[in-house]
Amino acid sequence: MAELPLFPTTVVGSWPRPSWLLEALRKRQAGALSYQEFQEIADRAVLEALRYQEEAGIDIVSDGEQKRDNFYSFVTEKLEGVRLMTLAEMLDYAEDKTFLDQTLRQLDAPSYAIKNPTVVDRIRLKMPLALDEAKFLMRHTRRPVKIPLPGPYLLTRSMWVKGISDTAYPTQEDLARDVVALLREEIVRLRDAGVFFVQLDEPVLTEVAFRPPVQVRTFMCASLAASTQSPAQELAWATRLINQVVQGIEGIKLGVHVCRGNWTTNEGVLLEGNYGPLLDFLSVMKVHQWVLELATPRAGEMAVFAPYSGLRELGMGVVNPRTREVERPEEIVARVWEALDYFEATQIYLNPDCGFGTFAERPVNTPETAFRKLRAMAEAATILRRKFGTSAVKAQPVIQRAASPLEVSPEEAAKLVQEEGASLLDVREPWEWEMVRIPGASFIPRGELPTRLGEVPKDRPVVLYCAVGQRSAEVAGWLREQGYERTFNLAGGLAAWMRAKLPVEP
Amino acid sequence: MAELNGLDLEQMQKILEEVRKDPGSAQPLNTWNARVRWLGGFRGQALIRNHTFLIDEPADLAGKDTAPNAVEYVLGALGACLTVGFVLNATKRGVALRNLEIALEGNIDNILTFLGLSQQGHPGYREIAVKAYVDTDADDSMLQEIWQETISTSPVGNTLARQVALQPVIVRV
Repeated sequence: MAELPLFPTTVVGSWPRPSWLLEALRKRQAGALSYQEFQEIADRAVLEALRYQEEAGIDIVSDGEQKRDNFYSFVTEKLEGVRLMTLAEMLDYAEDKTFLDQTLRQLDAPSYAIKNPTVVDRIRLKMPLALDEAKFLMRHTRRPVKIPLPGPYLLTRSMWVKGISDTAYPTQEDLARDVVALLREEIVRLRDAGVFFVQLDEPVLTEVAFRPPVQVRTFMCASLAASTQSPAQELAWATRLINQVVQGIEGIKLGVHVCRGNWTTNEGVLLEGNYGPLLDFLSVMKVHQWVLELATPRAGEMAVFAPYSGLRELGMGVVNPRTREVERPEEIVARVWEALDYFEATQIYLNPDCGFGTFAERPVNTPETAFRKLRAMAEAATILRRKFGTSAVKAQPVIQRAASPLEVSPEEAAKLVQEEGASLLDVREPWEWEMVRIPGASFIPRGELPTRLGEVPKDRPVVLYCAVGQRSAEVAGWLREQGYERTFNLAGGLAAWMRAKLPVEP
Repeated sequence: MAELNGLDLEQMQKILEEVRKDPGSAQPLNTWNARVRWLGGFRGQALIRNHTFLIDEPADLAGKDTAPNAVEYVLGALGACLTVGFVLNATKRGVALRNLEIALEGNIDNILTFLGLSQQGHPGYREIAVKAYVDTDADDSMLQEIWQETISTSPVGNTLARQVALQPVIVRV
């Protein structure tokens, strides 16, 4: 892997397209340009986007997604069985038409201008999804490259439309199987080609977690509105899909990007809320890095990361791609300083909150401003490197709750199990248990414990755990009242257990 | 058969020519009829020539939300009228349209007056925002010209923008 300085700077992916590229894109979509003819034009745009990044001092570069219509619809060109359909064509199949109309009003766009990659037949690869992009980019830069790919949840959710896709795939789960296989193969191909970083884009996860009112949803998941699943089930499914995609793939940095939508410069209509509701899921995704939006007040407090500190790298959004004023490097440094309470210096990468041109036709900034923002980021990284030196330096110690006699650290818990035969009891919800658990633990959801108390052994210590140790602390108190005197709570929960590098399954 | 925007150009020219020669031949186009039958609750069925459609109210107005309501049909009617007008005026000028979509939003002056809860203002639309999205190669000044003529010659637009003399009669049967 590439040698990187501390606080590597990178982008989320997209860069504003020049007008001549947009013209070529329209011609390509109308069938007036061949794949090859379009590539030749887009290659020039990629080189421009690359030059901006290199001149700004970005360490890990992207191709600016110049060859894509947007960050996920581009798969249409690479897959058989997928057709770029306008919302106008899909209107009759939409389960929630009110939602579509309101979304179009938000976007100030007609239904014929919004396109969705829709599965119309079994999907099959025509050509690798992003290998052409990666190869061209790597021929023209010595820096490590990042390739963003649409995540399996986003792809499945957006491409499967009831009434259109169900003849090829009766359910979304059926489509998900093919999507997972496809993305796995792509990541392996990109790794073998020498790509440093693959980022899976899953922007809709915030929409699922926050269950926003219809006015602030995006169109990316027309079917989302009709989903009958609870947010937790939906997020658990998304997490499973991501883990199926990345399971066992080594030799490449893998990240997941979750933002709150990047389709308008009107901050007032974009989603708001911290990452708290997502962290139980993010913390069990088998990726190295969370690429998150943290530059705007809409992203909430950094403190939500406390129970999960140090578990993953943070691709920290430090500039807002949608504003005209450029963040000062000192501001960025101050923001990173906050993050250092929860992440080690070696774990923090700097990036904008999102791309600068997520949708080809509606970039959120000009290349000039985008450049100045990247520049500010690179300057902030320089300041931070001066403070921390060039070698990996440990940041402030990770915040841990003060241990009470009734709480045990992960190491103590492991010792209790080994030396005293203590019983580990998981009191989380079924979907959490299914995603990740401690080997050898038994499982009784906390709501069922009163009726299943007989299953808890009385002849040995019991160590309770949940995700971060809050729910299980309550249960531990109750269990002691029931006469289980040697009940302990695993401080910091499964997050602390994983941070201590103790084994989990699957 | 020459065709533009899905219209038969010769047929359109022929109709325009005939009406120009004999304005009286357009007389039947001056009168339109509709009949609306109550179906219970807030639901109604409209009978118009050989067509029927439903009218209802949304659930938050005690309706069953099985169909659009009357004021929504007004917006739909205006949108449809402007669509027809836009296509007519574009086609007359030889302008090809790839796509056209009109978004409308009406604001009632004071809905409380409809419910008999206020004497302020009136229960009609105070204003209707109309936005046309067009995909065409025609230049901006041509588009403006077509749009202006569409608005100024729209039958529904004129109905709304001018005062219509309502002639109400009630009959017990």
